[in-house]
Amino acid sequence: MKRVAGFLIGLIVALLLTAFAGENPWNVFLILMKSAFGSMYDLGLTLSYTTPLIFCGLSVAVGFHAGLFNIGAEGQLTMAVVTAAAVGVLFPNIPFPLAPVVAFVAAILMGSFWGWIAGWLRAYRGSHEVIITIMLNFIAAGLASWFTLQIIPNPNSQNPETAVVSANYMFKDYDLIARLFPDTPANASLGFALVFAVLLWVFLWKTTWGYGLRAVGSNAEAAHRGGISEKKVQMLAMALAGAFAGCVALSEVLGSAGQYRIGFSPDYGFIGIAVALLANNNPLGIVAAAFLMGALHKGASDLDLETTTITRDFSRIIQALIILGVTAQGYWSWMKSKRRKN
Amino acid sequence: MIIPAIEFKGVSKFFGEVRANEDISFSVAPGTIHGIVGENGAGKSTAMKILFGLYQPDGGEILLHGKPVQFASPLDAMAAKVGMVHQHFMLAEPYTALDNILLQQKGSAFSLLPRQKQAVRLQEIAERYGFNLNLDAKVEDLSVGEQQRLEILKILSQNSEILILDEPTAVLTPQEVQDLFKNLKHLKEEGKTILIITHKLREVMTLTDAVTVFRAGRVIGSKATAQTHPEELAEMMVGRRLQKPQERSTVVDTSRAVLSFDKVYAQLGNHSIHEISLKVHAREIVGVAGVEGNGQDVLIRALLDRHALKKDSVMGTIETAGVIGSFPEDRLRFGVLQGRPVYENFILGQHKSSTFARGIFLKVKDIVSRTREIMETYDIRPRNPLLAFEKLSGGNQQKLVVARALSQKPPVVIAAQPTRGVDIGAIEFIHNELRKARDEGAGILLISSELDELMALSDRIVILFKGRLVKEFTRAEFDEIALGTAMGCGK
Repeated sequence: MKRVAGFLIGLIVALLLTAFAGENPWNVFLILMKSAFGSMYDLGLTLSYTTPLIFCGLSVAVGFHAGLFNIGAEGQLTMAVVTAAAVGVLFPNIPFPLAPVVAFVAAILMGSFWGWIAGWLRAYRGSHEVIITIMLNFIAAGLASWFTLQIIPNPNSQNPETAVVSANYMFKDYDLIARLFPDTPANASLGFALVFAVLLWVFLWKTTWGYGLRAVGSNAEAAHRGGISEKKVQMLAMALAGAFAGCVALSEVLGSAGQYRIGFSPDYGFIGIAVALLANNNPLGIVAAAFLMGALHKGASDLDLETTTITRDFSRIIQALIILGVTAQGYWSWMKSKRRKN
Repeated sequence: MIIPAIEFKGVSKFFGEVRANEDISFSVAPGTIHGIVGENGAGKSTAMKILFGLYQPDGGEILLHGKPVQFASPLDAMAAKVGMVHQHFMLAEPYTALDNILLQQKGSAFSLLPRQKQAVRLQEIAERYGFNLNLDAKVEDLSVGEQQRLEILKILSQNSEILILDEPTAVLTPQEVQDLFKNLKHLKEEGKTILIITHKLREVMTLTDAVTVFRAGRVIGSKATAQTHPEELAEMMVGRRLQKPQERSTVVDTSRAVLSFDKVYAQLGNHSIHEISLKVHAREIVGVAGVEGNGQDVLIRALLDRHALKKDSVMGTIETAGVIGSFPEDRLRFGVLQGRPVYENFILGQHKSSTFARGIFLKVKDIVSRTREIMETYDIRPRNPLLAFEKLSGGNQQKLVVARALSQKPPVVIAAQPTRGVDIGAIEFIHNELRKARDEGAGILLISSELDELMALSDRIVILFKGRLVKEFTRAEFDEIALGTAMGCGK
């Protein structure tokens, strides 16, 4: 309840800010709502943003549960998406059911490898994962650009993107969600995202591995005396985080675009941090938080057209205030103590 | 009739829902040493903090020499010649002893004297009360006992007539305790009134003239020390009769060593241990005594946290016969998962056992019901396995940690400070559990800073001094003075 209230407080404060720009906050709110949920098309776009945000939220949350701050979801998903596209372009003849599976497995392996690097460095070299993952983000961006432009560029386009994978890599023909929202990138990977969220929840709370992971996140020294290796957990957690981020390949390459386009991600990896925070790292909460963030992102895209003074970047301000509203739980206890005094 | 130096009349103090003090009434005759005893959380410290002006009472009043007083802050209390030595010293470490005293004197007539004269005056006071101290030494170079003397000197320099000491012996070696008691008796002869908070009943018997027992925020009764005995006081504190520990009926199984150190050397930071050779047999409790900082921490960590020590900083061999059950010297740091529920804390270390897991899946239902059973047998309250661990009181937390270690029936038990910060009822319980584990065949290494505890439980006591095992006492040789001497100077 507190989280929902904090969310509303953040949203209301953000909307009130628009009054300073000469807009009617209520009007801005209506634009946001209409743009996010106004038609099946709008809802489809909202859902297409939601899916990668769920994956990235799960990625960041796994890290947090192990006491690690994964800022590298962006790099991990970039590596994975390029890998999926590369498999699709370089091995065009794999038959249908197998092809997307191969590409997907390759993508999450690459993503988890990219995450594991940071986990390994943390475990054995003591390098802080925040620094390492930030640097890996840059490396990933550089590698992806080089690979895209030099190795598998799109021969039919001037845009910085890879060639399109062959049709046997796409599951569009069997995709009920895509059929429900025609002309939008929404696709069946949303279903995978929901399943993965449940799986992560089971993993964290119902398995010995998840228990060990959370134990290290809570108190590494106590966990060690309980026979849980901090090093192993750090590597496992970062590899898992990378794998979840890597799932973005599913929604982006195999589900909709069929290629890697440089700059396709509006910083999903970073918004994923906000999603995880908003949901207090609860995998099921992440689904809801990702939907809210997806809606905000889509809703704000029409602010450019519909208002005279506010641009789509305003969604960043709303995001920031919502995070403040939700995470600054301190004021609840402050209000409580205030009430007692009176 | 003599007017009491201090009189509490129906004093109450509430923290939210918690009744820390309720209707506290007792009086202290001038020129006496008065003991305040009670379990943790009984309200002793709260009452003393009210007297010292740190807390304001929610009801009742305090009379000094028959006059009601109300202290808004410790400054008021000090002006009324009440001084307090806190359990944790309030000293500025990089400064000299003299500076620390002068710091307290800001604004008084004394502080206006030239520094030279101040030093002379303080030296006089120190000599008069037998508090020998190098006033020019920096605090960080003073021993704990000297720091405590400095704290008392600080109070005396303000001409305080009433001294409150909060658990003054907790940090001292037996020798230092004796010195302190001699000094306090001397102060009493000078006419000072002394209040001493403690939970060690033997100290109450040797030092005080009268004693007031607290339990659960209330005063249970006041007694003249001469007319009471430790058993009665313990009963008043706990609210029930404590069992006398029985002498053991089993014998040490000397043929089987379950834990052995052979010429172990280890280093961690500034502390190290050298050439530790020691065997713990089945059905044996070996106590490790020593003033804190003589290598106990390194010993424990070399045994339990090899990974935390640098490569090559451990040499020699340590052999154990199977699983080690351990309770950590520092519960919060090494023992518990904060923010996690009680049941998750209970299974730490056993979470992969077949009792609690099937394959990689945890049997959450079984875990919760097993935890509830354990909370039943160990009387851990409140009895809710889903409660966040830190919602338990310190004693209950420690009981859970003990239950976790002993319920798997390990052949080797490392009990480090098993009763630190735990009240009498829980101490009795934990000691009995250790005896039970011993009788069932475990070999126990007991590392404790409480001599009483070591002497009550151990079959042998070894003395750790500057990282070496310097002496060994068998049960027949246990003697507080001899042990204390060995702890203090390694001989």
